[in-house]
Amino acid sequence: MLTYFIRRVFTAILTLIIAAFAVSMLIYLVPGDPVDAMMGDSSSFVSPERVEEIRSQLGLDKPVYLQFPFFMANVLRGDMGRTIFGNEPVLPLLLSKLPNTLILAFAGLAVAILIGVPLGYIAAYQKGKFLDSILMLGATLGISMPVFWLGLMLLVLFSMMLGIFPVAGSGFGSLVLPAFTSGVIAAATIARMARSTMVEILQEDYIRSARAKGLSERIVLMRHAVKPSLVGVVGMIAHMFTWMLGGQIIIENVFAWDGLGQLAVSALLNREYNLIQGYILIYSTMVVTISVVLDLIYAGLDPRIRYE
Amino acid sequence: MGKPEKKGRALTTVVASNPTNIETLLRVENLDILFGTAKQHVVAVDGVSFKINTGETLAIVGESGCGKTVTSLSIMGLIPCPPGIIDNGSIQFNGKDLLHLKMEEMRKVRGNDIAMIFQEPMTSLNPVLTVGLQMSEAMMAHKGISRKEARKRAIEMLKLVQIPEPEKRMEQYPHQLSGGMRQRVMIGTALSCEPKILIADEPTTALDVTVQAQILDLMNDIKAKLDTSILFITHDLGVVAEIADRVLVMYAGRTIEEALVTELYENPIHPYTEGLLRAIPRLDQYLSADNSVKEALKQMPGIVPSIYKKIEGCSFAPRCPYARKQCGQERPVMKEVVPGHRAACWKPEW
Ligand SMILES: Nc1ncnc2c1ncn2[C@@H]1O[C@H](COP(=O)(O)OP(=O)(O)O)[C@@H](O)[C@H]1O
Ligand SMILES: [Mg+2]
Repeated sequence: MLTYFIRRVFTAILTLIIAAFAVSMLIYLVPGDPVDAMMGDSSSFVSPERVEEIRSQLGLDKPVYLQFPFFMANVLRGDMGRTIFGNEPVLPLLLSKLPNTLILAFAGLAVAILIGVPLGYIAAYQKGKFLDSILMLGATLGISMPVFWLGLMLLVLFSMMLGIFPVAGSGFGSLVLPAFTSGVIAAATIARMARSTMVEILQEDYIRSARAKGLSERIVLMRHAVKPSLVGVVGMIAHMFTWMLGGQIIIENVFAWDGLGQLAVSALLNREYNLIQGYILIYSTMVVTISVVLDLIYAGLDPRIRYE
Repeated sequence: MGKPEKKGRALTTVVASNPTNIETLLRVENLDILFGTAKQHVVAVDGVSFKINTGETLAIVGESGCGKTVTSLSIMGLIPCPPGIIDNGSIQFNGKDLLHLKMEEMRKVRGNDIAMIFQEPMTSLNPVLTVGLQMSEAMMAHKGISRKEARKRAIEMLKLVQIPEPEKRMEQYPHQLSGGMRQRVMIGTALSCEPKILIADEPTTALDVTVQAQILDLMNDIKAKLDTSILFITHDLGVVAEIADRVLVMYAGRTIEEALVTELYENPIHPYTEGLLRAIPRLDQYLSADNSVKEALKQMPGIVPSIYKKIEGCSFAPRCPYARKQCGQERPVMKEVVPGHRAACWKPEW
């Protein structure tokens, strides 16, 4: 188990290095001269000295094979370069937006788990009955509903008409609606997954064995059915979480939530290559970390993985 | 293993020689079980009746699909409904009508008075729970004892089913045990509440031959130590001689013959039973029991009738070498042909 974990961390680090390499090469995808492209229309206003400064900052004055070592060394020092406009250091800028994204992701995840998991299980237990049909209709709606539409409806109803929550901001009150929007959408996916997993488990021989022992229905379900379902359900929850961590561009926009998603969009629009690189690196790090943690959770949940 | 077997034989003789000790523990009468809707269904069990006495082992024998599992699940109140419908009949146990018990009452019977083990030891244990917990929980549910007490008894049960290093096994998970070990765990769990009846639904079918023999030995051993009645279900008439006192033969959802084991072997009445007896593999044949049944049945042309169709006459008639016109038209009922030997066949009357 320990060697497995060490191997897992090692591959995670390798993955990150490969991601970093890909990110450092991103600049060569830009057609023509990268710095000219970044400047866009404003290139004529920028002094040649400033252009040279940016070139050396990006390592473009070095040969191609030194590009990645140069980039990696800087990243390891915590230096992801500066923005072109405003000349701000990239890493602190990204980190300043990270807490907001984390808060929204965790809140959305909590909503998704609290709604999605129980409803999925209930639907499975009521399979083929009226309640199951209603719940799955709801889940299908949730999956196909455009995020911005749901967000706007909630905003109009609860903020503008009823005035319960503020239209924008970053306090607890203004967290409720965006968290609910992303949570509901993720809950729909999680509920479907929880339902299909549970439907399958309820047909297993070991559930019949548990019933044959005369255990109470509560123990049959909570102990014998829920526990084996967790590997699949937790996997889906983690999947939803990585989706939320990317910064939920549309939700952040609708609710004026100042997170990574909005920053990433403006970086793309303004051709802030350093910022885009930094964003991708931070996001990759989070995704890879989650996958390692997830593997640990799997091992905790399923002895067949633990004792492999 | 030799010793307890001898003791067992002695015990059975005592019981048999003292008729006041024989009482009917379980009585199944005219059981009909359908799958599907009231309009469109298959008849899985069709008018099945039998009884089990205290301390006795009754075997139900028949090809796969003839309704053995469904019959035993109905005793446990575990027929999935829908699509299962118990259409008719009664199941009496210890003065209780099991088919009309409230859910909570039936739960107290399951695993406590009547326990069941299944054909698939590989999938019948929960993969994410320890052996110890799965063995303890029935006792905790029925006997109101603490987890600690239940664990102590579970270790005793593991010893009873001859699992080495029981303390260590308690902490293990099912995937760390072989198929034979898992079936031992199932048996130990089933016996943990000292049930009056143990239903064993093809407990050895999924195991390889040497392990099959070990499990049979174990069950005989247990029969000797405890006076649990056993309902032993199998498709292999060869196994029956090793464990059962009485046999009930089923064909296409119906019972067709019933007798003491030796009587049935020496004097089969129903042509289907004859076929089954011919199918018992001899030691010089490398045929699995299932294959040899198929071999022998090849000598009886025709196929098992579709259970979608209502069968007017004897369900075996289409492939019976002796069949006459009457067999296709009138359904033979179970009748005592020789004292203690019943069969559903017209032939003895001709
Ligand atoms: N859950 C079910 N749904 C529909 N039909 C079933 C179900 N369980 C059993 N049956 C029907 O009952 C018949 C008898 O099955 P079973 O009792 O499992 O046979 P076996 O003698 O092999 O144990 C089968 O042919 C099958 O058609
Ligand atoms: Mg069966």
